[in-house]
Amino acid sequence: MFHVKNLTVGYGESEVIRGLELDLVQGEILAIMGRNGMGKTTLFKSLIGVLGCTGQSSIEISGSEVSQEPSYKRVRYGLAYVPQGRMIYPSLTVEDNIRVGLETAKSKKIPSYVYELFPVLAEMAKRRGGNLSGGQQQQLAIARALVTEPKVLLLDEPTEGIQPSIIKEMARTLKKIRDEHDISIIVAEQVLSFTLEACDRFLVIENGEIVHSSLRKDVDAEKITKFLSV
Amino acid sequence: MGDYTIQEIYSVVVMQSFSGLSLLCIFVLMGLGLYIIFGQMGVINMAHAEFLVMGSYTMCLFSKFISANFPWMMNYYIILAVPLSFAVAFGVGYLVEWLLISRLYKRALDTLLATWGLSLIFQQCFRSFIGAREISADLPDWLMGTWMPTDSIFIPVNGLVLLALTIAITVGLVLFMTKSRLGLRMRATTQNREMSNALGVNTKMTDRLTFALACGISGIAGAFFTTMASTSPTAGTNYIVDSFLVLVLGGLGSLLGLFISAAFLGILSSVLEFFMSGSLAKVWLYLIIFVVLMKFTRGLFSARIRT
Ligand SMILES: Nc1ncnc2c1ncn2[C@@H]1O[C@H](COP(=O)(O)OP(=O)(O)OP(=O)(O)O)[C@@H](O)[C@H]1O
Ligand SMILES: [Mg+2]
Repeated sequence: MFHVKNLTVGYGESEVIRGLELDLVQGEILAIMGRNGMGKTTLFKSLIGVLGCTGQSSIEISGSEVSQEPSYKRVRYGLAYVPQGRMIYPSLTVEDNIRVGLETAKSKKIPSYVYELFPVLAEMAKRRGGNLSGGQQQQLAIARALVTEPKVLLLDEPTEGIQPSIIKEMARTLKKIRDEHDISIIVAEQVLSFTLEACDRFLVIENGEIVHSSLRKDVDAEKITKFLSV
Repeated sequence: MGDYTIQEIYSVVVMQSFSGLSLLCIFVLMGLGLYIIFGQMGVINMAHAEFLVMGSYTMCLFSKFISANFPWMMNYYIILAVPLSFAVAFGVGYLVEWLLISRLYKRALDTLLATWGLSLIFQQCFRSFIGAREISADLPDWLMGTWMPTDSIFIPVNGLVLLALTIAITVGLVLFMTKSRLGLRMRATTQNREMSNALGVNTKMTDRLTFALACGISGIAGAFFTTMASTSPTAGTNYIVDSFLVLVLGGLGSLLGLFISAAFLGILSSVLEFFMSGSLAKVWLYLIIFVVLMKFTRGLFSARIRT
């Protein structure tokens, strides 16, 4: 349902992602692991369309080719994005932050599942996004992406700057989202304990290429740890 | 200051303040547009005053059309003329954003130059297609009357209407920005364009509508400008500098600042102009603003936005 072929992305002359291939199974949570600077964010930005890719690249979602479409159209095809650093709107209220995500939805009312999933956002509804803690902002960013009703949710380092007890909670939340909304999730991460908790499949990216792949049942945690340490 | 009694000076100040208030309204309406365009897109629109003139010409030509064809409508046609001026300026603004501005984003100096060139093109178009001579609108009598709260104070009705309209537009705009879907899109796009796009907002279209809306407001200012002065191809140039001054003085980022600095500028210049010649008044006005800006380098009400 989501296929990436020969994806090549760069900044000016320097290629950061080279001919990357990726196939996502319906309903799975896929981890893309890699050290700093290995190209995770670049990959995600090109998937959502913030960064352009070369003409030979292909990004296909539910049978539609979107690699040359602007971001806002990709959202309509079912891609949603939670960026690294969350990028919530600091001076919009929590409610308004979520409402921006309702652009593509038929009803412009915030659906009730949002506050069931993230009760803290209901308490904070009238506060400005910039006044939330990092963890709350992360929840807000996920909520905002979720209301676009995606088929594929991209999460870039959701655990960054979040305390360990909440990280466990986050893994549960991701699985819950997958089960209740029947969507697939791709998570870029460096924290193996989190992905072991949440994900069904593991890829390792190095210098813009996939260098390792394993399923949950035969995952070799030691091997992945080696990739993640310098 | 000549031989004026206290009573006379009082009346002069009240009346001049009121004529300053009309000027204030024009500044506020112009400033609102400039402020939206600058805030949203970082574009300084040097052709903004030409959208005002566009509104004025629409009003003038429409009033002539009405008085020639439907004289019985003379008392009420303004109700149609104001939306029409808005629509014309909005439509042209839409095209300008599409054909010109959208190709120049993130190139601040280029847009400055391009919109300045555009203002010259517009002026020449007015000259070629409408005529170089000043024209004025055929206005209904009730609008040009005066209201006398005391027997030495005369308040022009057109000023009152303009004031009411300006307040209505400002309140309407605030409601629009905070309550409507397009307003939310505009606020989101201003704060983070890429992220908004990645959430499904068509940011290009949002920019286009924002620009057009700002031009439309300027068109409304133009419609009312005809009740204060006649319209010529270069009528706008007198206002663009002062409108920018209002914006800078207000601190580029708060609506309240915009209002207060427009009031400051509008009233001060009217009162000064009564007691001295026009150009001397301008000199004093700019001197005063100069001193104020030296004290408050970021404007009187600079926005403190956290990011
Ligand atoms: N705007 C840019 N211009 C030029 N090079 C860039 C730019 N952004 C990223 N890069 C380079 O692209 C490479 C991949 O960066 P990217 O941000 O995708 O890594 P990452 O895997 O997300 O790292 P991190 O874990 O630190 O977030 C790095 O070498 C980086 O220096
Ligand atoms: Mg990254």
